[in-house]
Amino acid sequence: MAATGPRIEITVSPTGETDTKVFGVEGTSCRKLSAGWEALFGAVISSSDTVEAYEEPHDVEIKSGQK
Amino acid sequence: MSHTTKRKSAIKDLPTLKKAVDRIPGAEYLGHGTAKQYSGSPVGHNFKLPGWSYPVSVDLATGECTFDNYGGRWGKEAVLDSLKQGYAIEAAKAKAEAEGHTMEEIQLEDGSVKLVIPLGGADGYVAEGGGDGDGWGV
Repeated sequence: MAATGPRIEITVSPTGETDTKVFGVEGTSCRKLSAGWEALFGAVISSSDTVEAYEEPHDVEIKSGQK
Repeated sequence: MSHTTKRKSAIKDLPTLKKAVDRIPGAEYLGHGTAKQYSGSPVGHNFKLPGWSYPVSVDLATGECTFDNYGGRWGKEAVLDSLKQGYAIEAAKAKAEAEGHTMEEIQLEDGSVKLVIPLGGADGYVAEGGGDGDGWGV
């Protein structure tokens, strides 16, 4: 069953790169939340708002890498 | 001739590093000190990886990893990659737990790991539209 509700989804690649998505959280809180996870995983490769594939607005996607 | 490679990483927390090492069968945390590599002696937190001839050393202040695998002949870099993957997972787990959240770890077919952290609302984050009635309480 697919997860629903406010949540963070992080995909960690076999090389340790991370792709973080925040769902169902309002804009300002979403930014604050996202910033905390950015710091955890290292340098940010790209960061952008995303609403695709999910109905909840104000989602944020973050990609980070360690290499 | 030097084979030593230095690479930036996000590894900056010792307990998380130890947990990441524990995730790899055959890997071992060696402690802090001077690592004896073929052509270098870096100082840092050192660990042995399975199949690697020389220990990897990481400076937690900078996240810099120093290793000596001679382009893969003395150790497969995929093993070091899996340590970095494990570190990211354990770091996320520690942060989730510190903030009072649970975390589900899902192994994907391509070797990636998906982490799902439900936000229960206790940390002040507000769901768009006041929640969707699925019991998340926000």
